[in-house]
Amino acid sequence: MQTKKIDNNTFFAPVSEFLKEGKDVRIRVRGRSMLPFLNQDKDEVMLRKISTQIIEKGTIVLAHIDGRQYILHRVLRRDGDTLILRGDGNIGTTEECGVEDVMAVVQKKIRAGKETDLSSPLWSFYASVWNNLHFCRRILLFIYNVATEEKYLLKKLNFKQQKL
Amino acid sequence: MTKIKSGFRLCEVGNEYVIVAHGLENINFSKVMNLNEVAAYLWKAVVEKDSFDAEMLTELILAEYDIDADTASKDAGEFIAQLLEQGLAE
Repeated sequence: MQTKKIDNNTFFAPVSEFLKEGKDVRIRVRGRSMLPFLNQDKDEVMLRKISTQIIEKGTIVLAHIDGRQYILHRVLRRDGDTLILRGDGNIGTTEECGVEDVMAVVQKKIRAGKETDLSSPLWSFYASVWNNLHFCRRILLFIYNVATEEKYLLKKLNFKQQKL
Repeated sequence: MTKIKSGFRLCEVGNEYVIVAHGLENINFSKVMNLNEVAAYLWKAVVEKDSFDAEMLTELILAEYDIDADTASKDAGEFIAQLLEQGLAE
């Protein structure tokens, strides 16, 4: 089986159609911004369009921001109809959008055939602990990145040694 | 005789054709199958049919594309073989 990368605008056009029809859509996760909860090499998510009223702090949403960028991040804050989003794996970067920009929410995560409901009380608790770690999050993310990118790190070290 | 199984849908992603699997309520975009233009044309032509065979497909190809009968017949056979191999038809 081959993996083919397509740009987001192309990919999400049909996905968005199916979501509007009321179908759940299963997609692969791309990018590292939702670490440690979503991992791009392993995870798939099931998306579902829901009423905008239910969107609250802690919900992971797929948003189409400013009509150009598709983002799968967690709601950090909700102010009326305005949402502030942040990837669990991002430190300072946040995004702002309206509830109407939300195409779907993550209903569950699928890793190696095993389904996890990320909105369950337990996983919501994990997420809230993680996102309230502030400075520690930075250190833990660094360690996580190093641990999972061992090969990359070794390459970098090798390169350094050669230079010496 | 062959028939396309239910639970698969042809879908356009940009300028490419892919087959996605769908259940009653969900569509799986995590694993899709890529079709070229001819395959997509054949798919559209036979997806609603109760059964089809290589001969029918050969005629369909010849009606639409300017190639010789041997090549068309070979392509038709290959298309059916691929469908069966990928579990898209029975």
